[in-house]
Amino acid sequence: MNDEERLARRTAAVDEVQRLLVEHLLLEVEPHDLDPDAPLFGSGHGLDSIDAVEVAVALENRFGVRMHESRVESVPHLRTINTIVDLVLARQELA
Amino acid sequence: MTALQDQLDAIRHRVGIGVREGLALGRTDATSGRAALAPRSATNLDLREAQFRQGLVLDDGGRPTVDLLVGTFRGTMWTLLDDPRGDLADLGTLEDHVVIGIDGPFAWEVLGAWASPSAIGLPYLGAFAPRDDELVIRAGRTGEYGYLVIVPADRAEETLAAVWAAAAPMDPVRTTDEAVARCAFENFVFELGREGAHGLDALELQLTWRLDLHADAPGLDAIRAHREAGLRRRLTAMEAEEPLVEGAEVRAGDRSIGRVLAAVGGRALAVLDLPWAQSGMTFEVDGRPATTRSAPFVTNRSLFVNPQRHSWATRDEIELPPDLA
Repeated sequence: MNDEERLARRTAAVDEVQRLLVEHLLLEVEPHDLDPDAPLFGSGHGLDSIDAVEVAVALENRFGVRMHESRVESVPHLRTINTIVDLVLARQELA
Repeated sequence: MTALQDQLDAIRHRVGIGVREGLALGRTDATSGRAALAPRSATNLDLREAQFRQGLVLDDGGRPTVDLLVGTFRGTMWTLLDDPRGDLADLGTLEDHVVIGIDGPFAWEVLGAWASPSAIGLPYLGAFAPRDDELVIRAGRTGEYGYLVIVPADRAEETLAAVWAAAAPMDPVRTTDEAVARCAFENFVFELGREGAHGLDALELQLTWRLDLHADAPGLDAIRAHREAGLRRRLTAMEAEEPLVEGAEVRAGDRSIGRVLAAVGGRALAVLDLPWAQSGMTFEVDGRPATTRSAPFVTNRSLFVNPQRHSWATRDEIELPPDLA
């Protein structure tokens, strides 16, 4: 895969995760208003632990990405849109 | 003064305590304060009692001019600014109080021992008053557990000593604003005087989450127009084997795609044109490879510390990911 293809793939994945979060969490923002590196929980986009469960379910349904039950494994991946995309793309490459 | 590296180690692994010299503090009546700030604030100021929020004031181009923490407590509006008060001086500059910072993955335990065990459950951006004329806000810039303790200046030394005594088992270190700023950098926490000082607007700085896009305040028309037109560049984290330098050009082949705005060693915040402002791409900075990455730069230890289950005494039992263990 060349750089152009990798950029296109990454951009598409970010767009898709932004849309997924807005749709599943019923956020009253446009998908592109979700900053890719802003924290999803606490400060930043202000999601809570119930949202975290929703996000995990949505990611599994849409991308087949299963979040680990272990906090140690799941927390780093759920910090921002970009860290979610890192996980999604890594799992797709393994598949 | 403790060496910077020791301060960083304390904030990252234990607890650091210090006077936040660079924070400008304001206090005024909540009603009049809100009336004065709301027309200028790009951030929604609808706050519950004892709730704080990270806010912005923008110039007409949508660029942040003030980065503030604002909230109300018992009829009083408090503002904390990371820089000189500028056009917010009318919001009650408070010079006879001092802000003490308690930062680190076990800062909550220090707060609980010093103030009250119930303080351990304080939510992020929540506040409480340990004593009259004192206020504690959970608003750390270095991880999940960071607290700002506002005390009258004539009680500052006494309070510092008491907090220090509560932290004694953790071998605390006296921290400076420089150490806190360094940890904020690695955690991708915005600093007006760093990445905010290069003419980027709030969208480009990834601060959309702080904006009330339906409000009528300076800079928001420019932000709405920018949103409509589409983002053309964005703040992006980068890493390289060699140290990166502020101002260095970022190139993709023959094309200049951005520049480094701030750097600490091989870590940098750069502004990159879209579509290149994406994680996982390798570009050239000063002729050497540098790779974009997802922020933040670190996996913060505090993410795995749970005040309901853990303690400093049992810290070895805390399950950590391999890069922190």
